[in-house]
Amino acid sequence: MSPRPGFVLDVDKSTPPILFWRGEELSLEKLPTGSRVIYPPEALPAIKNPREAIAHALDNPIGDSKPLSELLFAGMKLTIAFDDISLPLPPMQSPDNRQLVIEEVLSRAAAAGVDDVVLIAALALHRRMTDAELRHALGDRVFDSFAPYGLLLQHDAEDPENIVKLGETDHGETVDMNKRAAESDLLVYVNINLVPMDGGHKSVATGLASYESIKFHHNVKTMRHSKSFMDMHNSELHTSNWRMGRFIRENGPKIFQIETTLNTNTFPSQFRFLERREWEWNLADRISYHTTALSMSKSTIDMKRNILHSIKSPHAMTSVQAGEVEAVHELTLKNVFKQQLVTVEGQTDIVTMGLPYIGPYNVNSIMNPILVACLSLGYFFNMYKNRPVVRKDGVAIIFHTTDWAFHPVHHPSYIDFFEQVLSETNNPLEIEKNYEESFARDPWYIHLYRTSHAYHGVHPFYMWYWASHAMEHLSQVIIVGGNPKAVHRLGFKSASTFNDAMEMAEDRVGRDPTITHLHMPPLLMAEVI
Amino acid sequence: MVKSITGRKDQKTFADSLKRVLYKPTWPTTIDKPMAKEKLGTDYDTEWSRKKPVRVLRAMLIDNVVKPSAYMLARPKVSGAEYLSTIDTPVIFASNHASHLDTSVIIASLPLKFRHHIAVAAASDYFFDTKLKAFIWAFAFASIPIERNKVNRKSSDLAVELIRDGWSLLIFPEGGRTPDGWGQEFKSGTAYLAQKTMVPIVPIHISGTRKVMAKGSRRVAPGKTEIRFGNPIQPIPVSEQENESSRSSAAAENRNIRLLTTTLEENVAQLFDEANNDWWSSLRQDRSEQVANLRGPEVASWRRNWELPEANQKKQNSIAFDTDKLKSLSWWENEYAKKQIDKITLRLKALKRKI
Repeated sequence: MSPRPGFVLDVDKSTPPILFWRGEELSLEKLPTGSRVIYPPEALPAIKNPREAIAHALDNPIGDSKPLSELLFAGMKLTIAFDDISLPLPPMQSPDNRQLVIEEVLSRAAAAGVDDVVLIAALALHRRMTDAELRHALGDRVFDSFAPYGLLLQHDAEDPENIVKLGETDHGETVDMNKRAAESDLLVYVNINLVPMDGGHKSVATGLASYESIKFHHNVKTMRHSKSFMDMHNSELHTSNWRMGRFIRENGPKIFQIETTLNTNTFPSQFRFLERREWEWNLADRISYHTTALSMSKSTIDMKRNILHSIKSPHAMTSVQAGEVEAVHELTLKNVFKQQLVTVEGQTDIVTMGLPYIGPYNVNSIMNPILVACLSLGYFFNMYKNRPVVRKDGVAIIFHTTDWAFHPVHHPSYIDFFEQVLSETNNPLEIEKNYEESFARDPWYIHLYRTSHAYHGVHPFYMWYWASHAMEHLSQVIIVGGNPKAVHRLGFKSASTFNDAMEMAEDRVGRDPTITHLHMPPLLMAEVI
Repeated sequence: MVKSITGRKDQKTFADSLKRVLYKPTWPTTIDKPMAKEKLGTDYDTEWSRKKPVRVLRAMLIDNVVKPSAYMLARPKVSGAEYLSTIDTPVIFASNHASHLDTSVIIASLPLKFRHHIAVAAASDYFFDTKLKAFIWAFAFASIPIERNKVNRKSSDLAVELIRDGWSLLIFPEGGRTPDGWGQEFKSGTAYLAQKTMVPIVPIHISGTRKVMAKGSRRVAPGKTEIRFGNPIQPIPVSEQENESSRSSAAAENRNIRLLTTTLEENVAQLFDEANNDWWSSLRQDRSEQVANLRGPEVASWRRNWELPEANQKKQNSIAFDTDKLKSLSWWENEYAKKQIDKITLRLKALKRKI
């Protein structure tokens, strides 16, 4: 049976309670009659032989590019950059797409007699990956071949000796780049496209850049003009990245881009109820849901995190394309939309979303309150094309425990941002103007970013900017089941139940509002017509 | 009516007649009984071992006995098994062969989808020479008898049939365990089967099992082993042009089998190289050199033994500190290392005194 497309369910009396994620917990909520639930399309079939598909893509590139083998020659300098731990979510079961692709690239490089090869994790301002995370993403073979010899690097955006300035775009944007990548005869970029925001020129222009470069598109103005940043043709974030990418094409190294897409097979079989429609749950699904929900509610927070973060997703590759960046990305987007796009008629007064335990910036970590804001108002809210699912001045009701908890190693600057900045103001523009520079230049955060596993000092600001478009668009944000103090610090309202939240929203959207629930994950992209 | 010697009348009842019909007549002791013809070797019928109830029992045996004991004895470090998840057809696993333990360790390391649906090609002259042995091997590993040195029609037909039925196959293309730890020339049977069925061959390199249980040794010494699965090798189809005439088609098939055998051996040799160095450098090595390295130097037996990687490892272990590494350290790292060496030396001396 071919996979069913996504659809919008109109809730009636006989609709069973709908599954909501609440961070590390789950619940079933009865939605009022007349509400809508947007379900993602079912997982597309995976490529039968991914290795063969990769080989085919490398030998038959698209756009203005020669086959990879023709670009490789003995004595050349080859750099392979790849996406970091933020992709995919949850981390996929071995073999990871990056491993399969990089092995194929290296096999060709070996056949061509290339000796000088360096691998770089394109971190941008993200935290450095641990050895175990790198090993998982690249596989034993690649890791053991390069890491012990210092040939597996992680991009350091704060290393003045290893960052070169390529120049400025016609809009005055500084284009910085990793020195090794910039001086290579060929830069191969290996990407995993989980959401339409990833990939394209953003891979190199952001992933291998410095703060000086990234600040030109990671700012409040750009984010507020990205409607949404998941739709590159209407995203200022992408426009700026594309300008930089084209500048690199003219003035930087030759780039061979390899992009892969995944299906929405997000959870292993024991959690398959998470991907099924509630009225189709069989006995095994119901048992599985109740035991999972019960054990999660009875476990300590550390146990819950340990269990959930050990989940490896059975994501499978649905497409692979290689060649010139823009041509490759165009095809990638088509494939991502084929998997994730759902057509939705009209906007809604209230959008509800249950946030899962994981987002791009808390893999093997803690989802702190700032990341809750980013995942809900940044990522989930922006998963639209044309116009947001919720109308202007509508309300977002978010389900998450929003604990006042931070990972001290991964998110040190987040702690200070939460304590010092958000206690003063929630206004993104004010925050950007008054605080960004001091956090970004703080030598302690820079030291932790470079030597430990910490996100850059400026990263919590970007998370806040990520949510700025939604904050401007919505009249109220309510978090159900969150820590009231933490929710208050974020500038949102706290409710203990869904009914309370509905009552609180009444003065903004009236007594009889329309409600739409985003049934994620698995991920979906709403095309609102 | 017959009168007996005792004069009593011999009354023949119906039951007596029935007995005589039903029971075999007894064999006169004065006449030699001909030996019963037992179907052993390649004639042994293993079909019973692939019936559902036997498969369930075997799965229980493998998961609950074979796997735990293999892991306890051999502690295998498995790499490359993740590649198997991308294959959805039956495959032929082809490995170098150093010990009887290889079969158990390899099967124990396979992902579930292959572990319970695999047959092992076992030498008919060794594993199927008595009824008991044949039963044990057929039951425990779904073994099928094959001839070591030639392609036997009956056993190859059976193997082909099994693969077409969805069974994977484990074959040791060297035809037997290594006598001295080095690899032996690969025989063409594996490639022949792959070419016939067009299923991929997964090369495997296994090391360390010889130390746990060597050929001819009854001693089992628990130790560490390493299994590396390589990328699947696809057989080469005969082109349409060649297929047109039966003569050139047969020649092309033979050529492909030879080519596939060479590729398989090269791939196992590359895995061997990878185990001793790393994957990237193994990729750039000359293939024929790697094969030569797998087979070992063509010198006197003691020197072959001397050159064994396992022996080298022992030699390296006996050298406590790598002096070259020390040279590349910065001065304070060097100082620290020296202090550590002094500490260990002192402790060793104290230990010796105690002894």
